[in-house]
Amino acid sequence: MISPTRIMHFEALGFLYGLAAIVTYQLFTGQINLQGLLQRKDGTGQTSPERIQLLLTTIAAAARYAAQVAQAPPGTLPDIPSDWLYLMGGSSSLYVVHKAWNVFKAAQQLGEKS
Amino acid sequence: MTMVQVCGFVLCLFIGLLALTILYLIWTRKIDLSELLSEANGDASMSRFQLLIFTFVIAIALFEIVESSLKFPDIPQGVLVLLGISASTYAVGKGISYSQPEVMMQGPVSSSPDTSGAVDDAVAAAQAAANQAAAHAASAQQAAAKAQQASGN
Repeated sequence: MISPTRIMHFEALGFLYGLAAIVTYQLFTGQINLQGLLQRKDGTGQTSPERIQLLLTTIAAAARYAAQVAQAPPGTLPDIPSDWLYLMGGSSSLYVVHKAWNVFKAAQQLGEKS
Repeated sequence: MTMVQVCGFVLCLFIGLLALTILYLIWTRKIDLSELLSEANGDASMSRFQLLIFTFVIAIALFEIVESSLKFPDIPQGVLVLLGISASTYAVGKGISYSQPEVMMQGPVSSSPDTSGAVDDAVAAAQAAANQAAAHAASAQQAAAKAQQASGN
């Protein structure tokens, strides 16, 4: 007879992968709003290079970590190499600094108009 | 079957039904995830997207490891730092956006095609209301002129 621990395992696995599948499906079908994900929020509507680099870095880091997990010995969560942490820190900082600068510039222009 | 096993099966049933209900409600959009990545102005947020990706990757990795070894592993410092970087980016980005709300709120008017239709509708409705108000004002002026003429006679 199947044990409660085994049933719980299948339930948790089903829930986690089900949730990930539904979120992915809704992202691809546009049910979860992705409008303006890569655009500047200063009112110009331009594509933002800092957002694109953050997106690429995020996808690369997530894929690399998933590959590390697949190759790790059983029972251990692999650590993230420090160079990847520097990369993510740098990429996020670039995004935040650009965002602050764009918002500051847009606020100045709004102030001048009014 | 012992009492412990019965309790275990009842717990499994409860958690399974809860998980199924949540997934069903999300699928039928009674739990609405459409604004999961949206900021206050309706545009999607890059930092929310990043946090979502990392949360899913690390949660699934952690689950797979717990499942394979049946014990909770130590969380490495690098993983905590990565989640910290991601959450800090989100928090700082939010702080920047809300420090200048007038800049953030002007975004979708010029950039979002979905909302531009709504803005056009609003402008058309405002123009119709203005025309109607002008017509009312003209008829009121005519009535006032007639009343003046009547009082003069």
